[in-house]
Amino acid sequence: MDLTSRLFEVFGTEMELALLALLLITVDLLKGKGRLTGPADAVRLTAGLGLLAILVHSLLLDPVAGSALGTLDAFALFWKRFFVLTALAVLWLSGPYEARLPAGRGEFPALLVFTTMGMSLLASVNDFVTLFVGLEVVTVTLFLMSAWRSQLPRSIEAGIKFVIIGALAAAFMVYGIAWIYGATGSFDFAVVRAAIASAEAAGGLPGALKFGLLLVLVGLGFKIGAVPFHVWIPDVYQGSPTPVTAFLSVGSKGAGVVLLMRFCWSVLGASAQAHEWLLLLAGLSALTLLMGNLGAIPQTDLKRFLGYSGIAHAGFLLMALATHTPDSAGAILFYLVAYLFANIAAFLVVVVVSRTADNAHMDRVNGLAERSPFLAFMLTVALLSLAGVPPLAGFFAKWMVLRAAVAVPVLLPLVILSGVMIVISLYYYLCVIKRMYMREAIDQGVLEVSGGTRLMLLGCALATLFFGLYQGPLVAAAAAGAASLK
Amino acid sequence: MNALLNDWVLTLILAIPCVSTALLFLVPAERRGLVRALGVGAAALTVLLSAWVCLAYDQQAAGMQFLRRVPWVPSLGIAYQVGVDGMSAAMLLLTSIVFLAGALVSWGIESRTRDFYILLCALVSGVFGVFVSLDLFFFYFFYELAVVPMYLLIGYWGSTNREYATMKLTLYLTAGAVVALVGLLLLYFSGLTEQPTFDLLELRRAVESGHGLTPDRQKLLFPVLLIGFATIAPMWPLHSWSPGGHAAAPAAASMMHAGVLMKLGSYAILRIALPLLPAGAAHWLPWVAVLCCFNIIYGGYVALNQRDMKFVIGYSSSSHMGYVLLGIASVTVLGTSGAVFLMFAHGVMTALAFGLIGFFYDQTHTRELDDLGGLMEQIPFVGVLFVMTAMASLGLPGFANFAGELMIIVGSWERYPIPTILAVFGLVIGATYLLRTVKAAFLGPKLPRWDHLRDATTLRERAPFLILLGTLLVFGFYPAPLVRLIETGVAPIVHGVQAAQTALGG
Repeated sequence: MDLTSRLFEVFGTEMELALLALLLITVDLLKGKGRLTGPADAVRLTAGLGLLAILVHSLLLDPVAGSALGTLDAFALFWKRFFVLTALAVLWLSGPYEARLPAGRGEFPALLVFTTMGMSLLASVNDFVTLFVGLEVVTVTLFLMSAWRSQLPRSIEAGIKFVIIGALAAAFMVYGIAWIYGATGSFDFAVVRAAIASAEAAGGLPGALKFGLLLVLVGLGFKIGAVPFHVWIPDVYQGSPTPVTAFLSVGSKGAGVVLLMRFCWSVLGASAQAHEWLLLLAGLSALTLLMGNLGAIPQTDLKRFLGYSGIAHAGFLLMALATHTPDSAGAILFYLVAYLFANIAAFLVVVVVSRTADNAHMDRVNGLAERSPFLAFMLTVALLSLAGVPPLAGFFAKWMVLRAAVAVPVLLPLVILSGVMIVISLYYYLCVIKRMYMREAIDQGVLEVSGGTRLMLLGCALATLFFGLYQGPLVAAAAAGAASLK
Repeated sequence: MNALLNDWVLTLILAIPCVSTALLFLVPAERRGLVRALGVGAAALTVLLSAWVCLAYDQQAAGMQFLRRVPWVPSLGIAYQVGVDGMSAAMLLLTSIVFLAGALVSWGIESRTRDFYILLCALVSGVFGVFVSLDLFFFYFFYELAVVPMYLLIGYWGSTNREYATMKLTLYLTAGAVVALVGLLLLYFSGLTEQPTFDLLELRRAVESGHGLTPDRQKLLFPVLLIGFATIAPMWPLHSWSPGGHAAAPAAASMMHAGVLMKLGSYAILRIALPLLPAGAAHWLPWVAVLCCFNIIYGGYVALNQRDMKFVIGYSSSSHMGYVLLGIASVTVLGTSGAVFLMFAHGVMTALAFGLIGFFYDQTHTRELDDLGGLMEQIPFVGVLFVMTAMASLGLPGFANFAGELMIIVGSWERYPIPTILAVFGLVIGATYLLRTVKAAFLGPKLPRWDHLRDATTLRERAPFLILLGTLLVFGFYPAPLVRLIETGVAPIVHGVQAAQTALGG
């Protein structure tokens, strides 16, 4: 088969996404208004239908053998579906946020689709060049989106911080890639892995290669918000428009996780179980768990709070990465799906309750149970799933990660630490629930919840409940994805 | 028909509160009558089915019965597996009776009635789930499920210091559960079976056929499970969440909490820790016998000094749980069956006490002994029943508690003479604080400020109390059927640990 048709086969989803994004810009131009006009706006409608079609198409795809430029294994497919679903959810989420997005910015859905294309590309990488290109596509479009409300200083601040930190991370990454290339003479994951394996067999990694790998790890650490590379998260989360924050917390983090998984399995391979890598990842995990969970306690802004909670979840994911068994890879995939539904629901509620204010202070949910029992209950379900309470998906996700980690005796101290952190996380999630059910509302205004929002929240809650009760299908899908990860 | 019921009765018992939870979401919140009827109806149905399970259980055959197994996530060794032995059948009966009484006393709740019943049903689903699960994953799943509804029940409908108490309770119990989870996962990977499995029956078969863990590993693992489960039991010094939680909770939640939720800890120790780690149990149980003396004596002394009636009963509960732990530690069929029997009797008794206190607290808005007095004049029905509850609690013959405590004391005498003597002394302390409470609240001169109090007059108001009192009296006068039922479940567990004790040389 010639290279072009191979490319179409492997990168079909990305091409569809790119076409959709161009189509969206065209529609926006043809409409001539240059702005979104409402939740049922033509651009948004096209984006929604297009993403839905791409999602359905990706569900029908079968894994194919990889080529030199990328791979479409079951693992990549799992993530492509995940990213398109996330984009769809974020697009929906931006509907109720509409009024707050400034006029003259009809390209918002197009940028969202471009970002998704980058993420989808990252799911398929098997060499460092594509990795860097995909990562830059994701990061640059997110820079723009996080500064989207340009009349708000906070949004600009978020954009600038994100640019600076993102550029720093990219610099680490590209420098690391250069060192790896220098040490092995190749960008290809398989070649690098072979070089690592033979170097290990010969008595240890050369310093140059190790240095390069560490720098790449630092770059990816920024992406998922691992401590000590997490400092940008609270400010950027708080300042960005809420739909973008949701996209950052689920999509962008997912992209970081997919790369870390490729890095641990496809690049490091068996040597990831070597003591030094395991300790490094376990140490990062411990720091991230501590920082995220302890940092979340004093937060008073919902988006900052969810940012810290996201750091805490990154700690859990790092623990699963340190475990490095097929079980733990499956657990990560399950975890992120559970995290997706809970987080999207939480951010949607944030969008609705902060509609009349310019911030997302936690006071906004005080007495929510009186103002809108439906929203309060949905946020409760989302937060309890994040806390890992049965019968919700988050419980089973945490349980899978712990189950995988207990099998590795060296990790027992980390497992114990994460157990303590589970209790702490329950505390701060319950504090938000307490505000909703046991505090007086500060704003007695009517909270209108549109039908679309209701539908979305109900969908997230039902998915959370379904995957928490009947885990079989998702476990099987995650296991299939994890099994193809080599 | 009968065969079908045999196969699915446990699933049905578990499904009734689960389905009620879901149905209640669909009922409009304003239709309070329908909500209450649904809650009470579901509870009544579980009572009938649990009673049927107890009667239909074949005591000759013993072992696990009404088994049902459905593979759930085979790749992870998880199966939905339910079954009961004599011990869990008795616990099912206890849960359903307390559920019914709790649903009835909550009839008067006017604020967010529907949400209250939703949480109550969710809580009960978790408790039933624990008692019927024979798969460690589902066991843990339901165990956690039982903890969290309590947070909102106490936090929203509670009283004294509720926000602090409910957070403390939830965090304590979750911490215990997480410790237990680590223990369960270590057990899962310990290589008991060829393929790691959560199937409790298979794990037990492996232990019984001599493939158990080495005594040294059991000694390491047992305390992990013990600490995890004993938090909810609650064993001293892990008990401090319990009295405050009892005091803050609304009546029905205190009833479920003290009546049933606390029993999950002792039950889990008996169901998982003892049979799977007999040598570990043989090594560590003497320590439990020591710690439970603190429960009994220290809990009793603290109860002596309380002025809030719910705190008196709360500390007395942790004192009584000391007896249960002593019975478990004794590892004799008599003593350990006595422990399970006392779990049953104490569950009913304490539910009755909290129900009665809740009844007049709704009107007096105080439970301080210094403010109360002479209530017997105004609310004689509640007063008489509370006196009878106190008598049951202090172990008067004729009430079920007496039988349980006697079995424990006789059963543990030989092995732990000093703790047993302390336990008998504890009964005296119990009599002191209970009689003082009765005297301060119900006896003495009539106080005019309580003239407005209304007694329980209608059948609906009296029914929950009469059901509970009737249960105490029936099993107090004729404990034999329930004791025999419990013995069939306890005996194999006790014999396993006894064999390990002999092997360890003592």
